[in-house]
Amino acid sequence: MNRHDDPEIGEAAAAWFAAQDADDMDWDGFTTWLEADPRHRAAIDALAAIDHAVARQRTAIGALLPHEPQAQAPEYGHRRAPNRWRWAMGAGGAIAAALAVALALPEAASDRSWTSDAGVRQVALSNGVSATLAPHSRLVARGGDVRELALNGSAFFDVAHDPARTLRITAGAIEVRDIGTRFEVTGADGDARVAVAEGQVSVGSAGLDRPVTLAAGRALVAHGDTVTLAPVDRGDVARWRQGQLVYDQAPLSLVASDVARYTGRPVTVDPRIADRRFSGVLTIGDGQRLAKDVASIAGVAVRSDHAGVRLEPSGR
Amino acid sequence: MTPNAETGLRALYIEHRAELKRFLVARTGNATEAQDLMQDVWLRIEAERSGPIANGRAYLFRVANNLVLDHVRERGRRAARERDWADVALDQRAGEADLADPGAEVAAMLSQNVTRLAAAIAALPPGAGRAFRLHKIDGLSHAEIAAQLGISRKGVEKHMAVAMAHLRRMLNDDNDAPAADGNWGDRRGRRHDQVTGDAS
Repeated sequence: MNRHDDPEIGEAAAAWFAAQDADDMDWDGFTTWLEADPRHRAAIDALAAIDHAVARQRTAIGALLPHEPQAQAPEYGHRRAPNRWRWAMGAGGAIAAALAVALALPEAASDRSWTSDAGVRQVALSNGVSATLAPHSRLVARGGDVRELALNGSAFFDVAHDPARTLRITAGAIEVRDIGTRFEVTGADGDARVAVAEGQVSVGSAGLDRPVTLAAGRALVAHGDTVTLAPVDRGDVARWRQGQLVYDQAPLSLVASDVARYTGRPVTVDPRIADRRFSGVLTIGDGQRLAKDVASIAGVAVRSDHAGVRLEPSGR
Repeated sequence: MTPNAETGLRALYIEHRAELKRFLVARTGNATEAQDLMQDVWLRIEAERSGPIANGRAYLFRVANNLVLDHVRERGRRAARERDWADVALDQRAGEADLADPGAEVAAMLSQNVTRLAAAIAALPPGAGRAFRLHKIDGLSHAEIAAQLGISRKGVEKHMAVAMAHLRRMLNDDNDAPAADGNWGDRRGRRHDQVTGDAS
């Protein structure tokens, strides 16, 4: 897509790409154009990759862009769609936003955040709303508003019923709305999990056409754009508070991000097994055995060096 | 359009199957993948329960196109994961890397991408940049942007095309693989300062 790149192709590709959501998109013309030259397809894919990178990190990008008065960013909570997914862009966005806060960039300066270290941390967000952060997790209140939360890591929320107040939490690629209940949210990169112990919450995700309501005893797992629902024992919700991690058909990549938090080291998963599902109960302890336990239950290999831990397909 | 969205879409799928397939083969460059995607389109419309859809044929193509984009994205994610791992391992071999705080390592990597993307967006021609920000950062639809900027929907589309073409030039990678997931291989943030005309 580089040296041999033809600017005409680049421009034509951009025109097709910009038109693809329009009602009058010429799909037959697009097909013919694609068939004319394999480079056309590559050019479209390159644009899709840029588009995705922007979408995924748009909160952080928005915070870095110079303020543009003409752009008139909508007032908070004013419109339905626009800032709905602002926080929903996964750990990339969340971590980068965290960095933006650390650098005291103007737009993010008024955010409030809470970070846990190796232990769990209790956070009283406001009257009737409290959160228990799992180790190495971070919660951000957008603009200091504790009803607008972004989570990277895992947390258990306890929200007293108050119809006048809706809490919104984004984590991974999902968004949770709640009026009053007790539930756990975990989000990292493309993965997210919500498990409800009491009451019910509403969960939206890019992989869902419309939000789903999740009642007590139900869990939702989002892995990339795939969303699965499953029952969960209410006693197992946020079991890390009792020193255990409980999984039922969880994506291995989500398990790995949990383990990374408890070990404080990167845990990566070979793409060949990242979509595998994992079920089992792990004892956290000091966290150092977790990766090995996961590997032995899942039947995968674990490789550890100074850079971190890697889960790989087993030799056989 | 038949009044029944479900049977209507299925009938349209059957009617336009050949063109859809041709589109998917052209779009993916892979007949097997196109066949899998045809099945995904069918599953998607079977699950569809919303009311009547205005332009069913265009809807089918959009569904197919979005499924392709999902595939491209997933491939990119995998490639990025692989590369991230390779980068970490490489840094380690280089010796001095301080991995006491692995979170900082990840954050640095991500922030670099974010910074680069933000810089590229900030460098867009004014009209295209404004439209791009409203659409991709603030989440406004083309129609909403048209209303806000006082231009036609086609004008917005043109702005978006100019913005995308510029971004691709500015973010162009030295590798041959499309830089998915914000991991642009070139760390120096090379960009072309020459900016061509703005569509307005």
